[in-house]
Amino acid sequence: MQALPREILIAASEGNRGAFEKIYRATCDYVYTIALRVTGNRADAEEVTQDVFLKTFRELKQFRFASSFTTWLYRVTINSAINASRKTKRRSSRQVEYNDGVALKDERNETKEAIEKEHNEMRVRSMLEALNPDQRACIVLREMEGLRYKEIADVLKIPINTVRSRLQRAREALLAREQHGGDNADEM
Amino acid sequence: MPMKCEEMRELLTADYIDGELDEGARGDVVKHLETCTRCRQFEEAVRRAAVEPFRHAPLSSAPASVWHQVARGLDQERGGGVRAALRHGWEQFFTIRKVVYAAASLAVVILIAVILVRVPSTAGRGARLSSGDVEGVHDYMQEQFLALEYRGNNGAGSPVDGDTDYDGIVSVNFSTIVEEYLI
Repeated sequence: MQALPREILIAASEGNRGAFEKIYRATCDYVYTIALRVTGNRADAEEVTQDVFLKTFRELKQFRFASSFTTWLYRVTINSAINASRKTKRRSSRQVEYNDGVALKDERNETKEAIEKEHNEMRVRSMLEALNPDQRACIVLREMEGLRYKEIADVLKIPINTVRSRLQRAREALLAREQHGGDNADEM
Repeated sequence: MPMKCEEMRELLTADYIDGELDEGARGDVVKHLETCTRCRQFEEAVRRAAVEPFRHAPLSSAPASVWHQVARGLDQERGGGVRAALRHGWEQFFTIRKVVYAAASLAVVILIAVILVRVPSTAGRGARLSSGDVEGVHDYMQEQFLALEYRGNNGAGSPVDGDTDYDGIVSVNFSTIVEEYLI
């Protein structure tokens, strides 16, 4: 996620709707992707994205620019997504996942590239499902957003050693999953 | 497994693979990997199972409907904001009115208390004169008395109704209420 010009943030914080829409356009795909990776389903990801931007609009007025806006936005997104993920798990995530799978198959193009892309997407989703929400958040911020340990620690407000150990546990879990034939399950 | 390999594997699942090591530590890991086949295989497995798939995952596009929902939410919040402002103003009005009522009540109580305290003290004197008035009358009286005394001593006629006592002292009949009150 790219840093946004300060003047746009200031204008949005003063209630300028056009400036706020610029922020939305520049960051919505990142927010949505993170939410999708952490929650594991589109309905929750859409709801999280919507909540994140409404919260952003409300809280920009109090934003002091002491920390980076993108760090703050990552934090709000990750926290909302983790909460949504836990709520969905309490309901029944299996039904949601099944519906998502159906939707993906209906939309796909029959080109080789599209099939590969879809296969990788399914694999990533399945891998993330093998992790708990905290590990998922660290993996998403590290692997997909490319954040350094210090930045992840700032976003999640946890010590760097906790970031390190969560990444280690997550990768060990993914490695164990692979060794137990995790990808075969994906291809079914 | 030698201890060295266990330490290496901790680094291979985190700092080394994420580029968080300094040059010296990174050099140590690279040297170890050159000589240890099992650790090299471990590193490749980690990359294949836990790193590469994520790095090829594309950014997903937020559906257009999300912005419509956000925009609707902003409109509602704005409406809610106006309603909240009106409610706040109304509450403030009532709060201010309460304060005004309290202040007015206090003022009335103080006024009544002052009246009750002042009225008996002034009524006891039989007239409502200020201290300035009393002093003025007193000065005037003293002046008149001295004048009379002067005239009496010099055989002049009395300017007011009065009698000359046997011992020559003039007694004056002051005929106003104020004079009577003060004397």
